Amino acid sequence: MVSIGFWKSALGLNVASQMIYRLNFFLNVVVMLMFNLTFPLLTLLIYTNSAGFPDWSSSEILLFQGFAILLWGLEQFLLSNVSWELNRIMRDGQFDRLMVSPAGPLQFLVATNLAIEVIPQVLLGIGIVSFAFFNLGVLPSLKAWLLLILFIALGLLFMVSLIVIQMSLIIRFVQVRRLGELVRILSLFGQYPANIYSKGVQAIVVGAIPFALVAFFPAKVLLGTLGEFPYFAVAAAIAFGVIAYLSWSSSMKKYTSAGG
Amino acid sequence: MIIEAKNLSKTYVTFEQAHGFSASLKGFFKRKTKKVDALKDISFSVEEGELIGLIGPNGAGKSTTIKILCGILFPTNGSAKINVGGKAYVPWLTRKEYVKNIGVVFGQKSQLWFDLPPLDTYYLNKSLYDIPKKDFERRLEYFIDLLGVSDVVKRPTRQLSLGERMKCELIAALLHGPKLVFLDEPTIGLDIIVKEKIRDFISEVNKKEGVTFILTTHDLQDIDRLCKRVIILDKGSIAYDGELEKLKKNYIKEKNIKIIMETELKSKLKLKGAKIDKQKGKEVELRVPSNRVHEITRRLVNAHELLDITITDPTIEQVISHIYRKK
Repeated sequence: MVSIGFWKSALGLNVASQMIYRLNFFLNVVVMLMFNLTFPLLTLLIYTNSAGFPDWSSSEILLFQGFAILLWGLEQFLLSNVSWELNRIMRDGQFDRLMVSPAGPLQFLVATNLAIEVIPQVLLGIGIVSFAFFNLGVLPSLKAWLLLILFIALGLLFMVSLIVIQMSLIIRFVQVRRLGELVRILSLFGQYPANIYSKGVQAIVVGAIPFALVAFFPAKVLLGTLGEFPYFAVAAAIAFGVIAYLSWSSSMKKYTSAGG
Repeated sequence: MIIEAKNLSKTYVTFEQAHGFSASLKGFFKRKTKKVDALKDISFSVEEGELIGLIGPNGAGKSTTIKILCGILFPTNGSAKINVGGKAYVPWLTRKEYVKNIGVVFGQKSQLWFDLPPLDTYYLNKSLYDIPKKDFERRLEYFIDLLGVSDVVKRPTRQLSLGERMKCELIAALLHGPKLVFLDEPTIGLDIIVKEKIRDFISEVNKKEGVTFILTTHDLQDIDRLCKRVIILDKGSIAYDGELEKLKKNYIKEKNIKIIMETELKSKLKLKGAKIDKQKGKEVELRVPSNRVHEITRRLVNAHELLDITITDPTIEQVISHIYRKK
Protein backbone atom coordinates (compact mmCIF):
# COMPACT_ATOMS: atom_id res chain seq x y z
CA MET A 1 0.00 0.00 0.00
CA VAL A 2 1.23 3.49 -0.75
CA SER A 3 0.72 6.24 1.80
CA ILE A 4 -2.05 8.83 2.09
CA GLY A 5 0.79 11.31 1.50
CA PHE A 6 1.07 10.06 -2.09
CA TRP A 7 -2.63 10.78 -2.74
CA LYS A 8 -2.24 14.21 -1.13
CA SER A 9 0.82 14.98 -3.28
CA ALA A 10 -0.92 13.69 -6.43
CA LEU A 11 -4.01 15.82 -5.69
CA GLY A 12 -1.74 18.82 -5.14
CA LEU A 13 0.00 18.26 -8.48
CA ASN A 14 -3.36 17.81 -10.23
CA VAL A 15 -4.51 21.17 -8.87
CA ALA A 16 -1.20 22.86 -9.75
CA SER A 17 -1.24 21.47 -13.27
CA GLN A 18 -4.91 22.44 -13.86
CA MET A 19 -4.28 25.97 -12.58
CA ILE A 20 -1.71 26.55 -15.31
CA TYR A 21 -4.55 26.56 -17.85
CA ARG A 22 -6.99 28.63 -15.80
CA LEU A 23 -9.47 29.44 -18.56
CA ASN A 24 -9.75 25.77 -19.50
CA PHE A 25 -10.36 24.86 -15.85
CA PHE A 26 -12.97 27.62 -15.42
CA LEU A 27 -14.84 26.55 -18.58
CA ASN A 28 -14.77 22.92 -17.48
CA VAL A 29 -16.35 23.80 -14.13
CA VAL A 30 -19.01 26.01 -15.73
CA VAL A 31 -19.99 23.46 -18.40
CA MET A 32 -20.07 20.64 -15.85
CA LEU A 33 -22.32 22.62 -13.49
CA MET A 34 -24.63 23.78 -16.29
CA PHE A 35 -24.97 20.23 -17.57
CA ASN A 36 -25.79 18.86 -14.11
CA LEU A 37 -28.21 21.64 -13.25
CA THR A 38 -30.33 20.78 -16.29
CA PHE A 39 -31.62 17.62 -14.55
CA PRO A 40 -33.17 19.33 -11.49
CA LEU A 41 -34.41 22.18 -13.71
CA LEU A 42 -35.96 19.73 -16.17
CA THR A 43 -37.62 17.94 -13.24
CA LEU A 44 -39.04 21.22 -12.01
CA LEU A 45 -40.42 21.83 -15.51
CA ILE A 46 -41.94 18.32 -15.66
CA TYR A 47 -43.58 18.69 -12.24
CA THR A 48 -45.02 22.13 -12.97
CA ASN A 49 -46.45 21.08 -16.35
CA SER A 50 -47.40 17.40 -15.89
CA ALA A 51 -48.15 14.72 -13.32
CA GLY A 52 -44.38 14.06 -12.93
CA PHE A 53 -42.92 10.60 -12.30
CA PRO A 54 -45.37 8.01 -10.85
CA ASP A 55 -45.02 7.52 -7.04
CA TRP A 56 -42.48 10.37 -6.71
CA SER A 57 -43.23 13.86 -5.40
CA SER A 58 -41.08 16.76 -6.63
CA SER A 59 -39.03 16.83 -3.37
CA GLU A 60 -38.55 13.07 -3.50
CA ILE A 61 -37.35 13.18 -7.08
CA LEU A 62 -34.99 16.01 -6.14
CA LEU A 63 -33.49 13.72 -3.47
CA PHE A 64 -33.11 11.00 -6.12
CA GLN A 65 -31.39 13.41 -8.52
CA GLY A 66 -29.16 14.76 -5.77
CA PHE A 67 -27.86 11.23 -5.18
CA ALA A 68 -27.38 10.71 -8.93
CA ILE A 69 -25.39 13.95 -9.28
CA LEU A 70 -23.37 13.19 -6.13
CA LEU A 71 -22.45 9.58 -6.96
CA TRP A 72 -21.78 10.19 -10.65
CA GLY A 73 -19.75 13.19 -9.56
CA LEU A 74 -17.66 11.02 -7.25
CA GLU A 75 -17.19 8.46 -10.01
CA GLN A 76 -16.18 11.16 -12.48
CA PHE A 77 -13.86 12.80 -9.96
CA LEU A 78 -12.01 9.52 -9.60
CA LEU A 79 -12.20 8.05 -13.08
CA SER A 80 -13.48 10.35 -15.82
CA ASN A 81 -9.96 11.27 -17.00
CA VAL A 82 -8.51 7.83 -16.49
CA SER A 83 -9.82 5.91 -19.49
CA TRP A 84 -8.93 8.79 -21.86
CA GLU A 85 -5.45 8.93 -20.43
CA LEU A 86 -5.13 5.15 -20.68
CA ASN A 87 -6.20 5.21 -24.34
CA ARG A 88 -3.55 7.88 -24.95
CA ILE A 89 -0.65 6.11 -23.26
CA MET A 90 -1.37 2.58 -24.44
CA ARG A 91 -0.51 3.04 -28.11
CA ASP A 92 3.06 4.22 -27.69
CA GLY A 93 3.92 2.05 -24.69
CA GLN A 94 3.96 4.90 -22.15
CA PHE A 95 1.94 2.57 -19.92
CA ASP A 96 5.28 0.87 -19.09
CA ARG A 97 6.08 3.78 -16.77
CA LEU A 98 3.01 3.00 -14.70
CA MET A 99 3.90 -0.67 -14.49
CA VAL A 100 7.10 0.21 -12.64
CA SER A 101 5.34 2.41 -10.10
CA PRO A 102 5.08 0.98 -6.57
CA ALA A 103 1.51 2.29 -6.46
CA GLY A 104 0.57 -0.10 -9.27
CA PRO A 105 -0.74 1.15 -12.62
CA LEU A 106 -4.39 1.46 -11.59
CA GLN A 107 -3.81 3.40 -8.40
CA PHE A 108 -1.15 5.58 -10.03
CA LEU A 109 -3.40 6.33 -12.99
CA VAL A 110 -6.33 7.27 -10.74
CA ALA A 111 -4.29 9.35 -8.28
CA THR A 112 -2.53 11.34 -10.99
CA ASN A 113 -5.64 11.97 -13.09
CA LEU A 114 -8.20 13.13 -10.53
CA ALA A 115 -10.76 15.37 -12.26
CA ILE A 116 -10.73 18.27 -9.82
CA GLU A 117 -13.03 20.26 -12.10
CA VAL A 118 -15.79 17.82 -11.03
CA ILE A 119 -15.55 18.80 -7.34
CA PRO A 120 -18.22 21.53 -7.76
CA GLN A 121 -20.54 18.83 -9.15
CA VAL A 122 -19.98 16.70 -6.03
CA LEU A 123 -20.71 19.76 -3.87
CA LEU A 124 -23.83 20.46 -5.93
CA GLY A 125 -24.97 16.85 -5.34
CA ILE A 126 -24.41 17.18 -1.58
CA GLY A 127 -26.31 20.50 -1.62
CA ILE A 128 -29.31 19.06 -3.49
CA VAL A 129 -29.46 15.92 -1.29
CA SER A 130 -29.30 18.06 1.89
CA PHE A 131 -31.91 20.52 0.60
CA ALA A 132 -34.34 17.77 -0.46
CA PHE A 133 -33.77 15.76 2.74
CA PHE A 134 -34.52 18.67 5.06
CA ASN A 135 -37.42 19.77 2.86
CA LEU A 136 -38.98 16.31 3.12
CA GLY A 137 -38.60 16.25 6.92
CA VAL A 138 -38.13 12.46 7.04
CA LEU A 139 -36.48 10.77 10.05
CA PRO A 140 -34.67 7.61 8.86
CA SER A 141 -33.85 4.85 11.36
CA LEU A 142 -30.30 3.72 12.16
CA LYS A 143 -30.88 0.68 9.93
CA ALA A 144 -31.85 2.99 7.06
CA TRP A 145 -28.64 5.01 7.48
CA LEU A 146 -26.56 1.83 7.48
CA LEU A 147 -28.35 0.59 4.36
CA LEU A 148 -27.76 3.97 2.74
CA ILE A 149 -24.01 3.64 3.36
CA LEU A 150 -24.12 0.07 1.98
CA PHE A 151 -25.98 1.12 -1.20
CA ILE A 152 -23.68 4.09 -1.80
CA ALA A 153 -20.61 1.88 -1.34
CA LEU A 154 -22.02 -0.80 -3.65
CA GLY A 155 -23.14 1.81 -6.19
CA LEU A 156 -19.60 3.21 -6.29
CA LEU A 157 -18.15 -0.31 -6.47
CA PHE A 158 -20.39 -1.06 -9.44
CA MET A 159 -19.48 2.14 -11.30
CA VAL A 160 -15.77 1.82 -10.58
CA SER A 161 -15.95 -1.83 -11.71
CA LEU A 162 -17.50 -0.78 -15.02
CA ILE A 163 -14.60 1.58 -15.68
CA VAL A 164 -12.00 -0.99 -14.56
CA ILE A 165 -13.51 -3.57 -16.96
CA GLN A 166 -13.38 -0.92 -19.69
CA MET A 167 -9.72 -0.22 -18.85
CA SER A 168 -8.89 -3.93 -18.94
CA LEU A 169 -10.33 -4.06 -22.46
CA ILE A 170 -8.23 -1.05 -23.46
CA ILE A 171 -5.10 -2.83 -22.22
CA ARG A 172 -6.11 -5.97 -24.14
CA PHE A 173 -7.22 -4.29 -27.39
CA VAL A 174 -5.14 -1.05 -27.12
CA GLN A 175 -7.76 1.25 -28.70
CA VAL A 176 -11.46 1.12 -27.73
CA ARG A 177 -12.24 4.80 -27.47
CA ARG A 178 -16.02 4.65 -27.85
CA LEU A 179 -16.54 2.03 -25.15
CA GLY A 180 -16.68 4.77 -22.51
CA GLU A 181 -19.50 6.48 -24.38
CA LEU A 182 -21.42 3.21 -24.54
CA VAL A 183 -21.14 2.89 -20.75
CA ARG A 184 -22.31 6.51 -20.37
CA ILE A 185 -25.37 5.85 -22.59
CA LEU A 186 -26.24 2.76 -20.56
CA SER A 187 -25.84 4.75 -17.37
CA LEU A 188 -28.66 7.08 -18.49
CA PHE A 189 -31.03 4.31 -17.34
CA GLY A 190 -29.84 5.00 -13.80
CA GLN A 191 -30.67 8.68 -13.97
CA TYR A 192 -34.42 8.05 -13.72
CA PRO A 193 -36.28 6.08 -11.01
CA ALA A 194 -36.30 2.36 -11.81
CA ASN A 195 -40.07 2.06 -11.26
CA ILE A 196 -40.88 4.21 -14.32
CA TYR A 197 -39.54 1.48 -16.65
CA SER A 198 -41.28 -1.68 -17.89
CA LYS A 199 -40.77 -4.88 -15.86
CA GLY A 200 -38.09 -6.14 -18.28
CA VAL A 201 -36.00 -2.97 -18.16
CA GLN A 202 -36.48 -2.82 -14.37
CA ALA A 203 -35.09 -6.35 -14.05
CA ILE A 204 -31.98 -5.29 -15.98
CA VAL A 205 -31.46 -1.99 -14.13
CA VAL A 206 -31.93 -3.64 -10.74
CA GLY A 207 -30.65 -7.18 -11.11
CA ALA A 208 -28.26 -7.40 -14.06
CA ILE A 209 -26.56 -4.03 -14.50
CA PRO A 210 -27.50 -2.48 -11.16
CA PHE A 211 -27.65 1.24 -11.98
CA ALA A 212 -30.51 1.38 -9.46
CA LEU A 213 -27.90 1.25 -6.68
CA VAL A 214 -26.56 4.64 -7.66
CA ALA A 215 -29.56 6.81 -6.80
CA PHE A 216 -32.81 4.80 -6.77
CA PHE A 217 -32.15 2.60 -3.72
CA PRO A 218 -30.31 5.29 -1.68
CA ALA A 219 -33.27 7.65 -2.18
CA LYS A 220 -35.80 4.89 -1.42
CA VAL A 221 -34.08 3.85 1.80
CA LEU A 222 -33.97 7.43 3.11
CA LEU A 223 -37.63 7.91 2.21
CA GLY A 224 -38.54 4.68 4.03
CA THR A 225 -40.08 3.15 0.88
CA LEU A 226 -37.44 0.54 0.09
CA GLY A 227 -39.72 -2.48 0.50
CA GLU A 228 -37.85 -5.74 -0.06
CA PHE A 229 -34.06 -5.77 0.30
CA PRO A 230 -32.58 -5.69 -3.25
CA TYR A 231 -30.60 -8.93 -3.06
CA PHE A 232 -30.18 -9.15 -6.84
CA ALA A 233 -28.75 -5.63 -7.13
CA VAL A 234 -26.33 -6.25 -4.26
CA ALA A 235 -25.23 -9.57 -5.75
CA ALA A 236 -24.83 -7.99 -9.20
CA ALA A 237 -22.67 -5.15 -7.81
CA ILE A 238 -20.42 -7.65 -6.02
CA ALA A 239 -20.27 -9.78 -9.19
CA PHE A 240 -19.17 -6.70 -11.16
CA GLY A 241 -16.48 -6.10 -8.54
CA VAL A 242 -15.19 -9.66 -8.92
CA ILE A 243 -15.28 -9.49 -12.74
CA ALA A 244 -13.41 -6.17 -12.65
CA TYR A 245 -10.73 -7.62 -10.36
CA LEU A 246 -10.28 -10.73 -12.50
CA SER A 247 -10.26 -8.87 -15.81
CA TRP A 248 -7.70 -6.35 -14.51
CA SER A 249 -5.43 -9.11 -13.17
CA SER A 250 -5.70 -10.97 -16.45
CA SER A 251 -4.95 -7.85 -18.52
CA MET A 252 -1.81 -7.24 -16.43
CA LYS A 253 -0.59 -10.73 -17.34
CA LYS A 254 -1.45 -10.28 -21.01
CA TYR A 255 0.05 -6.78 -21.34
CA THR A 256 2.40 -6.76 -24.30
CA SER A 257 3.80 -3.20 -24.16
CA ALA A 258 4.89 -1.58 -27.43
CA GLY A 259 8.06 -2.08 -29.40
CA GLY A 260 11.36 -0.36 -28.65
CA MET B 1 24.38 -12.29 -7.40
CA ILE B 2 21.84 -9.53 -7.97
CA ILE B 3 20.23 -10.98 -11.14
CA GLU B 4 19.88 -14.62 -12.14
CA ALA B 5 17.96 -15.11 -15.37
CA LYS B 6 17.47 -18.67 -16.59
CA ASN B 7 16.13 -19.75 -19.98
CA LEU B 8 13.99 -16.65 -20.48
CA SER B 9 11.79 -16.78 -23.56
CA LYS B 10 9.13 -14.42 -24.80
CA THR B 11 6.83 -15.10 -27.72
CA TYR B 12 4.43 -12.46 -28.98
CA VAL B 13 1.45 -13.09 -31.20
CA THR B 14 1.14 -10.31 -33.76
CA PHE B 15 -1.24 -9.71 -36.64
CA GLU B 16 -0.06 -9.65 -40.20
CA GLN B 17 -1.65 -6.72 -41.95
CA ALA B 18 -1.46 -6.78 -45.73
CA HIS B 19 -1.18 -3.52 -47.64
CA GLY B 20 -4.10 -1.81 -49.37
CA PHE B 21 -7.79 -1.06 -48.91
CA SER B 22 -9.25 -4.49 -49.73
CA ALA B 23 -6.67 -6.24 -47.53
CA SER B 24 -7.56 -3.92 -44.65
CA LEU B 25 -11.24 -4.70 -45.16
CA LYS B 26 -10.54 -8.44 -45.19
CA GLY B 27 -8.42 -8.01 -42.07
CA PHE B 28 -11.44 -6.64 -40.25
CA PHE B 29 -13.14 -10.03 -40.51
CA LYS B 30 -10.20 -12.38 -40.50
CA ARG B 31 -6.67 -11.75 -39.37
CA LYS B 32 -3.58 -13.78 -39.95
CA THR B 33 -1.63 -14.19 -36.74
CA LYS B 34 2.08 -14.69 -36.52
CA LYS B 35 4.23 -15.82 -33.62
CA VAL B 36 7.35 -13.78 -33.00
CA ASP B 37 10.06 -15.09 -30.71
CA ALA B 38 11.39 -11.92 -29.11
CA LEU B 39 13.59 -13.85 -26.67
CA LYS B 40 14.86 -17.38 -27.13
CA ASP B 41 16.00 -19.16 -24.03
CA ILE B 42 18.47 -16.61 -22.71
CA SER B 43 20.38 -17.09 -19.45
CA PHE B 44 22.77 -14.75 -17.69
CA SER B 45 23.65 -13.48 -14.24
CA VAL B 46 24.78 -10.13 -12.90
CA GLU B 47 26.94 -9.44 -9.84
CA GLU B 48 26.15 -6.59 -7.46
CA GLY B 49 27.85 -3.32 -8.48
CA GLU B 50 28.35 -4.32 -12.13
CA LEU B 51 27.63 -1.92 -14.98
CA ILE B 52 26.53 -4.05 -17.89
CA GLY B 53 25.82 -3.00 -21.45
CA LEU B 54 23.01 -4.79 -23.23
CA ILE B 55 23.45 -4.12 -26.92
CA GLY B 56 22.09 -5.39 -30.20
CA PRO B 57 20.37 -4.21 -33.36
CA ASN B 58 16.72 -3.14 -33.45
CA GLY B 59 14.42 -6.03 -32.59
CA ALA B 60 17.21 -8.01 -30.90
CA GLY B 61 15.27 -8.33 -27.63
CA LYS B 62 17.04 -5.73 -25.47
CA SER B 63 13.91 -3.88 -24.38
CA THR B 64 11.97 -7.12 -23.93
CA THR B 65 14.71 -8.36 -21.58
CA ILE B 66 14.61 -5.11 -19.59
CA LYS B 67 10.80 -5.19 -19.46
CA ILE B 68 10.77 -8.76 -18.14
CA LEU B 69 13.41 -7.95 -15.53
CA CYS B 70 11.40 -4.88 -14.45
CA GLY B 71 8.23 -6.98 -14.07
CA ILE B 72 6.41 -5.21 -16.92
CA LEU B 73 6.11 -8.34 -19.05
CA PHE B 74 5.51 -11.95 -18.16
CA PRO B 75 7.98 -14.26 -19.92
CA THR B 76 6.55 -17.15 -21.93
CA ASN B 77 9.07 -19.49 -20.32
CA GLY B 78 11.99 -19.35 -17.93
CA SER B 79 12.70 -17.81 -14.57
CA ALA B 80 14.45 -14.82 -13.05
CA LYS B 81 15.45 -14.06 -9.51
CA ILE B 82 16.41 -10.55 -8.46
CA ASN B 83 18.07 -10.07 -5.08
CA VAL B 84 17.44 -6.51 -3.93
CA GLY B 85 16.55 -4.88 -0.62
CA GLY B 86 17.47 -8.06 1.27
CA LYS B 87 14.88 -10.16 -0.55
CA ALA B 88 14.69 -12.34 -3.65
CA TYR B 89 11.99 -11.35 -6.12
CA VAL B 90 10.48 -12.86 -9.25
CA PRO B 91 9.78 -9.50 -10.95
CA TRP B 92 6.52 -10.28 -12.73
CA LEU B 93 5.01 -12.14 -9.75
CA THR B 94 5.76 -9.60 -7.01
CA ARG B 95 5.93 -6.52 -9.21
CA LYS B 96 4.45 -3.92 -6.86
CA GLU B 97 6.76 -4.71 -3.96
CA TYR B 98 9.75 -5.39 -6.20
CA VAL B 99 9.67 -2.11 -8.13
CA LYS B 100 10.20 -0.14 -4.89
CA ASN B 101 13.75 -1.47 -4.97
CA ILE B 102 14.70 -0.66 -8.55
CA GLY B 103 15.08 2.42 -10.71
CA VAL B 104 14.05 2.56 -14.36
CA VAL B 105 14.71 5.13 -17.07
CA PHE B 106 13.13 4.73 -20.49
CA GLY B 107 14.89 7.04 -22.90
CA GLN B 108 11.73 7.64 -24.89
CA LYS B 109 9.19 7.68 -22.05
CA SER B 110 9.00 10.36 -19.42
CA GLN B 111 7.90 10.05 -15.82
CA LEU B 112 8.03 13.82 -15.27
CA TRP B 113 4.80 15.85 -15.11
CA PHE B 114 4.73 17.71 -18.38
CA ASP B 115 3.31 21.05 -17.19
CA LEU B 116 5.15 21.21 -13.87
CA PRO B 117 8.81 21.51 -12.89
CA PRO B 118 10.70 18.22 -12.31
CA LEU B 119 11.02 19.22 -8.65
CA ASP B 120 7.27 18.56 -8.24
CA THR B 121 7.66 15.02 -9.63
CA TYR B 122 10.54 14.47 -7.18
CA TYR B 123 8.30 15.40 -4.25
CA LEU B 124 5.58 13.09 -5.57
CA ASN B 125 8.16 10.28 -5.71
CA LYS B 126 9.20 11.12 -2.16
CA SER B 127 5.71 10.23 -0.94
CA LEU B 128 5.30 7.38 -3.43
CA TYR B 129 8.46 5.62 -2.24
CA ASP B 130 8.19 6.81 1.37
CA ILE B 131 11.66 8.35 1.23
CA PRO B 132 12.74 9.78 4.60
CA LYS B 133 13.10 13.59 4.42
CA LYS B 134 16.84 13.56 5.28
CA ASP B 135 17.71 10.94 2.63
CA PHE B 136 15.56 12.71 0.04
CA GLU B 137 17.21 16.08 0.59
CA ARG B 138 20.73 14.63 0.68
CA ARG B 139 20.27 12.66 -2.55
CA LEU B 140 18.47 15.48 -4.32
CA GLU B 141 21.25 17.94 -3.53
CA TYR B 142 23.93 15.41 -4.53
CA PHE B 143 22.33 14.52 -7.88
CA ILE B 144 21.45 18.12 -8.77
CA ASP B 145 25.02 19.13 -8.04
CA LEU B 146 26.48 16.21 -10.00
CA LEU B 147 24.39 16.96 -13.10
CA GLY B 148 24.47 20.76 -12.73
CA VAL B 149 20.71 21.20 -13.00
CA SER B 150 19.88 23.45 -10.02
CA ASP B 151 17.92 25.90 -12.19
CA VAL B 152 16.61 23.32 -14.65
CA VAL B 153 14.62 21.37 -12.01
CA LYS B 154 12.58 24.50 -11.26
CA ARG B 155 11.44 25.07 -14.86
CA PRO B 156 8.32 23.37 -16.31
CA THR B 157 9.26 20.10 -18.00
CA ARG B 158 7.65 21.13 -21.28
CA GLN B 159 10.20 23.96 -21.56
CA LEU B 160 13.23 21.71 -21.12
CA SER B 161 15.51 20.47 -23.88
CA LEU B 162 15.80 16.72 -24.42
CA GLY B 163 19.18 16.66 -22.67
CA GLU B 164 17.91 18.62 -19.66
CA ARG B 165 14.86 16.38 -19.42
CA MET B 166 16.99 13.24 -19.50
CA LYS B 167 19.16 14.53 -16.66
CA CYS B 168 16.00 15.18 -14.64
CA GLU B 169 14.65 11.70 -15.50
CA LEU B 170 17.83 10.14 -14.09
CA ILE B 171 17.38 12.01 -10.82
CA ALA B 172 13.73 10.88 -10.59
CA ALA B 173 14.78 7.25 -11.07
CA LEU B 174 17.48 7.38 -8.37
CA LEU B 175 15.98 9.48 -5.57
CA HIS B 176 14.65 6.48 -3.64
CA GLY B 177 18.15 4.97 -3.53
CA PRO B 178 17.66 1.83 -5.65
CA LYS B 179 20.54 -0.64 -5.74
CA LEU B 180 19.57 -1.83 -9.24
CA VAL B 181 18.84 0.55 -12.11
CA PHE B 182 17.70 -0.25 -15.66
CA LEU B 183 18.53 2.36 -18.28
CA ASP B 184 16.82 1.78 -21.62
CA GLU B 185 18.60 3.95 -24.19
CA PRO B 186 19.23 6.91 -21.88
CA THR B 187 21.42 8.76 -24.38
CA ILE B 188 19.18 8.42 -27.42
CA GLY B 189 18.98 11.65 -29.44
CA LEU B 190 21.33 13.59 -27.16
CA ASP B 191 24.27 15.73 -28.23
CA ILE B 192 27.81 14.67 -27.39
CA ILE B 193 28.24 17.10 -24.46
CA VAL B 194 25.07 15.94 -22.69
CA LYS B 195 25.96 12.31 -23.44
CA GLU B 196 29.33 12.81 -21.73
CA LYS B 197 27.71 14.44 -18.70
CA ILE B 198 25.25 11.56 -18.37
CA ARG B 199 27.99 8.97 -18.76
CA ASP B 200 30.02 10.72 -16.02
CA PHE B 201 26.96 10.70 -13.80
CA ILE B 202 26.23 7.00 -14.30
CA SER B 203 29.88 6.11 -13.72
CA GLU B 204 30.05 8.20 -10.53
CA VAL B 205 26.84 6.73 -9.05
CA ASN B 206 28.01 3.21 -9.93
CA LYS B 207 31.38 3.69 -8.25
CA LYS B 208 30.41 5.79 -5.24
CA GLU B 209 26.99 4.32 -4.37
CA GLY B 210 27.64 0.76 -5.59
CA VAL B 211 24.51 0.86 -7.76
CA THR B 212 24.20 -1.92 -10.35
CA PHE B 213 23.28 -0.61 -13.80
CA ILE B 214 21.89 -2.50 -16.77
CA LEU B 215 22.20 -0.27 -19.78
CA THR B 216 20.78 -0.75 -23.26
CA THR B 217 22.09 1.46 -26.02
CA HIS B 218 22.82 1.71 -29.72
CA ASP B 219 25.80 3.93 -29.05
CA LEU B 220 29.01 1.91 -28.70
CA GLN B 221 30.66 4.98 -27.15
CA ASP B 222 28.35 4.56 -24.14
CA ILE B 223 29.54 0.99 -23.76
CA ASP B 224 33.18 1.88 -24.31
CA ARG B 225 33.04 4.62 -21.71
CA LEU B 226 31.02 2.79 -19.04
CA CYS B 227 30.91 -0.99 -19.26
CA LYS B 228 33.45 -3.66 -18.45
CA ARG B 229 31.03 -6.37 -19.53
CA VAL B 230 28.64 -6.53 -22.46
CA ILE B 231 25.85 -8.82 -23.48
CA ILE B 232 25.11 -8.74 -27.20
CA LEU B 233 21.65 -9.84 -28.21
CA ASP B 234 20.76 -10.80 -31.73
CA LYS B 235 17.35 -12.04 -32.87
CA GLY B 236 16.40 -12.92 -29.30
CA SER B 237 19.53 -14.93 -28.47
CA ILE B 238 22.76 -14.04 -26.71
CA ALA B 239 25.50 -13.69 -29.31
CA TYR B 240 28.17 -12.64 -26.83
CA ASP B 241 28.41 -12.32 -23.06
CA GLY B 242 31.76 -11.29 -21.72
CA GLU B 243 34.33 -8.60 -21.14
CA LEU B 244 34.35 -5.59 -23.41
CA GLU B 245 38.13 -5.76 -23.71
CA LYS B 246 37.91 -9.32 -25.08
CA LEU B 247 35.19 -8.27 -27.49
CA LYS B 248 37.35 -5.43 -28.75
CA LYS B 249 40.42 -7.61 -28.99
CA ASN B 250 38.71 -10.42 -30.83
CA TYR B 251 35.96 -8.78 -32.84
CA ILE B 252 36.28 -5.01 -33.06
CA LYS B 253 39.41 -4.75 -35.13
CA GLU B 254 38.24 -2.26 -37.71
CA LYS B 255 37.06 1.34 -37.91
CA ASN B 256 34.68 2.84 -40.44
CA ILE B 257 35.84 5.82 -42.44
CA LYS B 258 33.56 7.99 -44.53
CA ILE B 259 35.10 10.56 -46.84
CA ILE B 260 33.72 13.24 -49.11
CA MET B 261 36.03 14.11 -52.00
CA GLU B 262 36.53 17.57 -53.43
CA THR B 263 35.92 16.11 -56.89
CA GLU B 264 34.36 12.86 -57.99
CA LEU B 265 36.86 10.06 -58.69
CA LYS B 266 36.83 8.72 -62.25
CA SER B 267 37.73 5.19 -61.17
CA LYS B 268 37.34 3.06 -58.06
CA LEU B 269 39.41 4.29 -55.11
CA LYS B 270 42.43 2.09 -54.43
CA LEU B 271 43.98 2.28 -51.00
CA LYS B 272 46.31 -0.38 -49.65
CA GLY B 273 45.05 -1.89 -46.37
CA ALA B 274 41.49 -0.55 -46.73
CA LYS B 275 38.30 -2.31 -47.80
CA ILE B 276 36.04 -0.12 -49.90
CA ASP B 277 32.41 -0.75 -48.90
CA LYS B 278 30.65 1.86 -51.01
CA GLN B 279 31.63 4.49 -53.56
CA LYS B 280 29.01 6.80 -54.99
CA GLY B 281 29.70 10.21 -56.45
CA LYS B 282 32.02 12.10 -54.14
CA GLU B 283 31.26 9.86 -51.16
CA VAL B 284 33.33 6.81 -50.25
CA GLU B 285 32.85 4.46 -47.30
CA LEU B 286 35.69 2.19 -46.26
CA ARG B 287 36.90 -0.01 -43.42
CA VAL B 288 40.44 -0.05 -42.10
CA PRO B 289 42.21 -2.04 -39.35
CA SER B 290 42.01 -0.12 -36.04
CA ASN B 291 45.80 -0.13 -35.62
CA ARG B 292 46.37 1.40 -39.07
CA VAL B 293 43.81 4.25 -38.99
CA HIS B 294 46.47 6.91 -38.56
CA GLU B 295 48.72 5.67 -41.34
CA ILE B 296 45.93 5.05 -43.86
CA THR B 297 44.18 8.39 -43.28
CA ARG B 298 47.50 10.19 -43.70
CA ARG B 299 48.03 8.48 -47.08
CA LEU B 300 44.45 9.31 -48.02
CA VAL B 301 44.84 12.99 -47.16
CA ASN B 302 48.16 13.22 -49.01
CA ALA B 303 46.83 11.58 -52.17
CA HIS B 304 43.40 13.24 -52.47
CA GLU B 305 41.64 16.55 -51.94
CA LEU B 306 39.07 15.88 -49.21
CA LEU B 307 36.09 17.97 -48.12
CA ASP B 308 35.26 15.91 -45.04
CA ILE B 309 36.39 12.79 -43.20
CA THR B 310 34.56 10.91 -40.42
CA ILE B 311 36.01 8.00 -38.44
CA THR B 312 33.58 5.87 -36.42
CA ASP B 313 33.48 2.61 -34.50
CA PRO B 314 31.91 -0.35 -36.25
CA THR B 315 28.14 -0.58 -35.93
CA ILE B 316 26.60 -3.19 -33.67
CA GLU B 317 25.49 -5.09 -36.79
CA GLN B 318 29.12 -5.23 -38.00
CA VAL B 319 30.31 -6.49 -34.61
CA ILE B 320 27.65 -9.21 -34.59
CA SER B 321 28.51 -10.33 -38.11
CA HIS B 322 32.19 -10.55 -36.99
CA ILE B 323 31.17 -12.68 -34.02
CA TYR B 324 29.21 -15.09 -36.23
CA ARG B 325 31.99 -15.26 -38.80
CA LYS B 326 34.47 -16.20 -36.05
CA LYS B 327 32.11 -18.79 -34.60
